[in-house]
Amino acid sequence: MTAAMLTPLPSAANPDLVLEARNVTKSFGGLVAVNKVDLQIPRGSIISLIGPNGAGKTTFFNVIAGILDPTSGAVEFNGQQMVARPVRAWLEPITWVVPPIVIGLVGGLIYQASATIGALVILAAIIGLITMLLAAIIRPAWYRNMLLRLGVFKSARPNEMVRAGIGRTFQNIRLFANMTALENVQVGMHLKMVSNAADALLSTPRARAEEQRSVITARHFLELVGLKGRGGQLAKNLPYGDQRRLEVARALASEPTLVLLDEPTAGMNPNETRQMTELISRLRHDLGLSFLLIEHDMKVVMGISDRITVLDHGERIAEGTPEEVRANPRVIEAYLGKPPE
Amino acid sequence: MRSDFRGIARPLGIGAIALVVEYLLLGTQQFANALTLGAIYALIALGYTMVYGIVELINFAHGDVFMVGSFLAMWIMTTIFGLTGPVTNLLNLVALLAIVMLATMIGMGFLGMFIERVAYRPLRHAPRLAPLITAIGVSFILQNIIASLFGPSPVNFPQIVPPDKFVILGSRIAYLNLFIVIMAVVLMIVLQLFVGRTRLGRAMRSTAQDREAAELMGVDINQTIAITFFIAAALAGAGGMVQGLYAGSIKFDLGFFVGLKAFTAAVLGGIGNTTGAAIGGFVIAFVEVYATVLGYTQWSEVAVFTVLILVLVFRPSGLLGQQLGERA
Amino acid sequence: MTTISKSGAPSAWARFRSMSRNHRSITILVGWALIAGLLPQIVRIPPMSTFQPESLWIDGFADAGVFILLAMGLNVVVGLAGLLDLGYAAFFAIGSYVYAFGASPFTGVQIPFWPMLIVGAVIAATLGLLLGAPTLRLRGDYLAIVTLGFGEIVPAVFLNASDLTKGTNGIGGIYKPQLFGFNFTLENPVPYYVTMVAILAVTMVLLYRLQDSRLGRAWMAIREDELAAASSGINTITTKLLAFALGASTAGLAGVFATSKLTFVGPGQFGFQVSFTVLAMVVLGGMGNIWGVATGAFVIYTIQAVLLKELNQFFQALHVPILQSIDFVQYQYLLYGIALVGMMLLRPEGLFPSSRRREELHVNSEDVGDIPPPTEALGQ
Repeated sequence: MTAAMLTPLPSAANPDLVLEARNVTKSFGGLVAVNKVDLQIPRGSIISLIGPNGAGKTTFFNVIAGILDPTSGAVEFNGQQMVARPVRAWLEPITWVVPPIVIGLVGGLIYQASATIGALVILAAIIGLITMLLAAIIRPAWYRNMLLRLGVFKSARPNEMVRAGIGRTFQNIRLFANMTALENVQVGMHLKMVSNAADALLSTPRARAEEQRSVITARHFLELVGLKGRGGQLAKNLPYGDQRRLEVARALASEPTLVLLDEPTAGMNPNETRQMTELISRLRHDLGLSFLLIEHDMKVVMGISDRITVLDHGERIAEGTPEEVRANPRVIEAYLGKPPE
Repeated sequence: MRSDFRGIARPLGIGAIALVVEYLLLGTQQFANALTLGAIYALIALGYTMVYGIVELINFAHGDVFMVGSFLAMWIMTTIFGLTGPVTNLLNLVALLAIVMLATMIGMGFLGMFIERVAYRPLRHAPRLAPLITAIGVSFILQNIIASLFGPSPVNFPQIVPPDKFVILGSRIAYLNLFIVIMAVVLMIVLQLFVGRTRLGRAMRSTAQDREAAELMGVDINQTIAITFFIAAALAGAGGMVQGLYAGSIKFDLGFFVGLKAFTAAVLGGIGNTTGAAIGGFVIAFVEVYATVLGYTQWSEVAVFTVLILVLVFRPSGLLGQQLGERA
Repeated sequence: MTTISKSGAPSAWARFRSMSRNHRSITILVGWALIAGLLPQIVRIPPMSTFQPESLWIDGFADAGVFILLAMGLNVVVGLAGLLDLGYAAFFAIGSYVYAFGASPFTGVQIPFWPMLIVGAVIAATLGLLLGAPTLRLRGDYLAIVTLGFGEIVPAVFLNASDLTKGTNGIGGIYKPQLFGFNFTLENPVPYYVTMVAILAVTMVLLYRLQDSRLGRAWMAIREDELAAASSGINTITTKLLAFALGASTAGLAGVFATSKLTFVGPGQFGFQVSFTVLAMVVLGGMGNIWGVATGAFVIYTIQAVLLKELNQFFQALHVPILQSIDFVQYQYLLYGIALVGMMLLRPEGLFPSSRRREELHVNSEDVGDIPPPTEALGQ
């Protein structure tokens, strides 16, 4: 495992912060799950998010990962706004549906007078629609910019967050259960590979070489998390702790700059927990990765976090270094008066 | 499934606006037709929406349960009661209608429960694709059983309601239309009361919200799901019977298109929302009747399908539904 | 790290497996060549030859090829990407009508058959894109119902737009293929048979390459867990769209071929029964396994085209009162329905499962199985 495998940190507008969430609120119907939460993740730091069950940690996580749209507030990653409440989202389907229909109707009217011209106009409408569709599929960045010019803002989708450099794991493990461990990691490397459908169909040397390289790289990632030699096993046949580690390997395979880990040590024995903690520290130290953790194990949290944010009932009740949080009376109160050990 | 007693103003408002627009565009005569058709679609759409709300499965066999319901009603009328033509005695007529409907609903209810037990329950934790494929299989089984029992050509449905008409707003409307609409509305109100006020209804709502939590709170999930299928299929059975009375003949593949339209109605209203399903049924019937009025009868199915696509593009959560489109 | 055989020298079978894995394209081509050569010999042997003459068998095999092609295309959508397409026959219809428009006296155009294969595939894929774009953003079940509707609407459009399609009468007299001045004829099915085998072999090579590529992995990831796939950087919408369009293009291709052979196209050929039959072929053959699906399609087609008719004649000849009156052909869809439900409940991986799919569909499979992925072998 070498640092060369993971891309160097890109220079950003605000080099100190890799991610900044401002005023993030998410409500479901009348229930406010996350209420005006701020979070800053300095580059190369390990930040933890703690709080009692139902405090809104995972909801907040899902907003950052681009899975849920916030009700208000915004998330910036490397100085670029990635997630916010959608603006004028209704305009998007209209731009798709209305112009072809209008041109088609006009074509239909012309058809009464001159069949040839009318048919050509209708054909033009169909071809225009298809061209636009293909353009949107092939050049998503161009399409996104076009929407922005129309004043439409949509939050980044999860895959766009990965492209920007955020990797994540899930609270209840979501591996590709019936694919091998190696294939799971290869899927994680999806964005780092370039061969497309045409390459695959023609079986070009480029595609074959890339496929072979990806196997070797994926083995490195497996080795990194301590799964050497397990690559051929189906993910669902791995023991629980190995599944958690495989998820981390898959998240790392996209070569992120920020890794979101949702309870990475849940269900692990003390030995496995120690290994995972060491891995996180090592990745931060060697590769300069930043981490955001949701974690229940206070020993882990207090041990590796640079700063801790405490949520309760969707609100941020405390933020600070482990020592500050440990001493904070509101935190102690939130944890039923029992001080975190 | 939401309790629709709270926040009832919005659905009622949308429903009222839809009805007024329909009336203005169609005129009394066609409006009555649209209303009748809409009542039938609504009864079926309710089944789609209830089942989807509780097990998140598009029950493709639902349209065919409706079809089987119309055949069962036909069989009861002709074979058990020996009916072929109109029943002129009002009391007899009402009693017969009530008995046949009750029998059909109960029969179909058990069929729905049976289908759930055999084809869906074993696959509750299987990959999503599996129950969808069995649903399609069940749909074909039902169609072909009926086709082999009653033949592949249309079968006459005894017209026990006399073709008398009454005059309203200058148009002559058959009493049958009135009966169908009133029956559908009564069934829907009963359903709302059941879902909103009873213990089983509460169990259904909580299961739809969060199955695991409901189970922890002591709700018998299997029983609740079975009852949901029973009610859904019973409503479809009632719809099947009135469809037979309304159309005059029934066919083994009847459930396919009616099912598709009713599903569109459920999506339009917001799948999982019972009031929405009812409103959706009336809107879809309106689209269909309006296409006929404009002289495009054979395009009405294309029109309904276009509505389905447009709803999915513009408002996948439907008129009254919550956010459904997954962003993943 | 991992080799095929664990104990001692690899057996001949293991060596064959390893070779066929590493040279899959060649293996497939050789396999199809063998099949193409053997089938005509088999039907000359008595039990087969008593059913129908050899030329009818060959003709039937060419028709079966259409369904094998359809099943392989639907397998990409259902088996690999996990999307349920219930209106697959619509794309078959589109391919068929494209050829009818491109090469019939009705339109007065005569474009050669071979480029039309591509045109049919491309137009079907385009319509697949247009249908999939709004619906693939939503949950999988919506796609099922939308395709179900689409499958009914497309024939309805061909039926109702009678100015353009001659409506219910259909378009007849469609031109047959030509190759270097050689004319395909109705009397001689062999050229169609050979063409079909060639199309099948090439399609299968391409599908296997896709399945083993980065794209194929992305499809499987989406099938396994869509959210996790998106969180691994896969653009789920475009990836699903690609699977959908590829499936559609295969059906378009099949449509062009089938029409050129039948020389007639009408809206009645593309009912829901066709989609349903193809789905049954995929499910019975084993979702996700290309060879399995092809075998399933072949078996089902042969049963419905030959065996059920034979069964009818057999019982007619027996003069058993009840069995005599049963028309077995009429019951085939009932049988498919029962087969679909039964397979999903008892053997969801199909009759010829792919090793991976077998692991998945049994929810509580304890069978660990030490299956080396193809990529492992590549890496060594």
